[in-house]
Amino acid sequence: MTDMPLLAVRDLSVSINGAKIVDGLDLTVERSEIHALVGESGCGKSMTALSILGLQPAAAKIGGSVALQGTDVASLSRRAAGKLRRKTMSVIFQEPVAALNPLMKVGDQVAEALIMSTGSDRGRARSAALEVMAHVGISDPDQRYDQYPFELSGGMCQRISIAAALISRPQLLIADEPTTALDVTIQAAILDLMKALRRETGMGMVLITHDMGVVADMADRVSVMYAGRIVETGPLHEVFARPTHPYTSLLLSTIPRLVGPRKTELRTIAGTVPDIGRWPDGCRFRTRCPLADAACGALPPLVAHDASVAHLAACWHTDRLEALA
Amino acid sequence: MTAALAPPQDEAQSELQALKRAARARRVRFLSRAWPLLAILSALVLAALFAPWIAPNDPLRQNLMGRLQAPGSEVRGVLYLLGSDELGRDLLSRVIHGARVSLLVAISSVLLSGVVGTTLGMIAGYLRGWPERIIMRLTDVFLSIPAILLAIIAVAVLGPGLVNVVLVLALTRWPRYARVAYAQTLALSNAPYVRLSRFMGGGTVHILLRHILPNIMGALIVVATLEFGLMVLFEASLSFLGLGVQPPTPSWGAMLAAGRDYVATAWWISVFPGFCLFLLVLAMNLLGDLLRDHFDPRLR
Repeated sequence: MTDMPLLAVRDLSVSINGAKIVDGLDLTVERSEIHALVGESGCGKSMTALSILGLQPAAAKIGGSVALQGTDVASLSRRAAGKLRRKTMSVIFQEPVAALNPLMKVGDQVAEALIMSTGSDRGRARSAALEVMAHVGISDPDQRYDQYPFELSGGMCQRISIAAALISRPQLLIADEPTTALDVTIQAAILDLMKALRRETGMGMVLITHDMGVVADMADRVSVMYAGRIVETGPLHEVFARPTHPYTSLLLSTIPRLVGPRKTELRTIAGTVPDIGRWPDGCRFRTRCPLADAACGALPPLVAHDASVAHLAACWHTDRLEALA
Repeated sequence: MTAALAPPQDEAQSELQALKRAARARRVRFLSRAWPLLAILSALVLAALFAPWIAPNDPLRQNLMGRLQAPGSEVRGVLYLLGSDELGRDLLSRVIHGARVSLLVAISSVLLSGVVGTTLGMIAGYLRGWPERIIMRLTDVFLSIPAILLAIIAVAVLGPGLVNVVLVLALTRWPRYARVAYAQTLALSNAPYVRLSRFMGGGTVHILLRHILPNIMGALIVVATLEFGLMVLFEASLSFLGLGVQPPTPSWGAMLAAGRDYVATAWWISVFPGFCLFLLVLAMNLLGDLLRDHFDPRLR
């Protein structure tokens, strides 16, 4: 069991009413590894997360496999799969305030996570909740326990969500844009907290974000998603230092620089993500890619292009990437 | 898990104070506008609860010598403060006792239709699929039939009487609640905390009762207050037509009907029960409006 990756997603596809939202996605998370999944809105990041959690909409058709510590959830009954997922994973969502029931005391929401996952009794759940609330940096947990979400700030609510996610001691945390709705100082505090928790518990993490700054700060590995597929994946430093897919390269070049000539125009990627499920044939980025040519009419495989076997990209023109600069 | 990983933070203490102040201000504003309505309603409820002790006379005692007495007249030592009806019964006592019927019918039919409609609406909105199709098409059918007509037909078939009136009103009015509960549940069923509860293995009943019902209660209470006024009028209409509560039990609707024949000579027989109906329905509807404003997050 120990040598099995915490999470191994193979060839995952999600389609709703015939529209393929996620297509052929592979994703692996090892123990205490933070794997960032990056992409623009509508590229299928959140649907990937929901499918891993088993929370996809009822109309969604799922293909491929999701294995937790070597056990394929599809091989289990629905009930057993849910149990395995609950035992292994927790999730925090994007909107910290909306993620909490507005009419339940925040402490009860943390405690309920434990009661539901382990069947613990109320008294024990309460003391465990107070402990984990203190642990995630909530001052005065005794007093906070009886407050309602509207009485707390966004950052506090996100700490509550994290406390609720951690109370069942998951080995894998799915964090769907955990800091997008927070202002930068709170964002930094939450990210530091998540890193510290990872260090301490050895918890693995799928971090879904569109913020390259968050990725650089947090991730060990990064996978870049475009139009339902992963276009590039690899260790953080390799992907950031030597992107081998034009989309990654352009994405990184859109980040404004603090050094260098001032008053240069901010760079953008022309065009927008195609409509969900109505992807172009062949390479899906070719409608926006400056390197696109006839070869791009065929779908490029995700393969290694440099010395590292862990660094993969799906592009026919990796060798011409310098032309972008 | 021992020491706190992050330093204790004093996040937005003043923001919290501001929120609490705003919530208190909203409550004060609500009460300052609603108190006259609450006063009228409590007076009517008290009258209904303590009718036998408040009413100066027996509402059923007839006195043919004292028929159609004008308000304020006295016959053989009995004071008819609001006058007497065509059988010489004291109108004030009948109006007070009539409040019992109106409130009892309205409260029980609102509760019954509310519970049935809300349950069906939440099921349709949360489970989707075939329960949604069946329940929502059924509400469409019910809403397409004029409610009072349906009620008249149903009472005519089942026979008049207090219990049947309540059942019939609940039968005709549940779709309103079902619609509202359905729409609200639909909006909430993808809320992150509902998803989270589902992920943690929360069953349908648990999620509906613990996460969805409390959050749609505000909207349902508003519907219920508005429906309450309507129920009072429906009961009065049915009694007016002779399909509601049967004589000699005093009911405002039946009193209106009885007074119709004498309206030119003894206006008080119809006017006082009518005025009570008007007060009750108006107070309840205005309260519904205020509650809607109170619960509407956009007006916060």
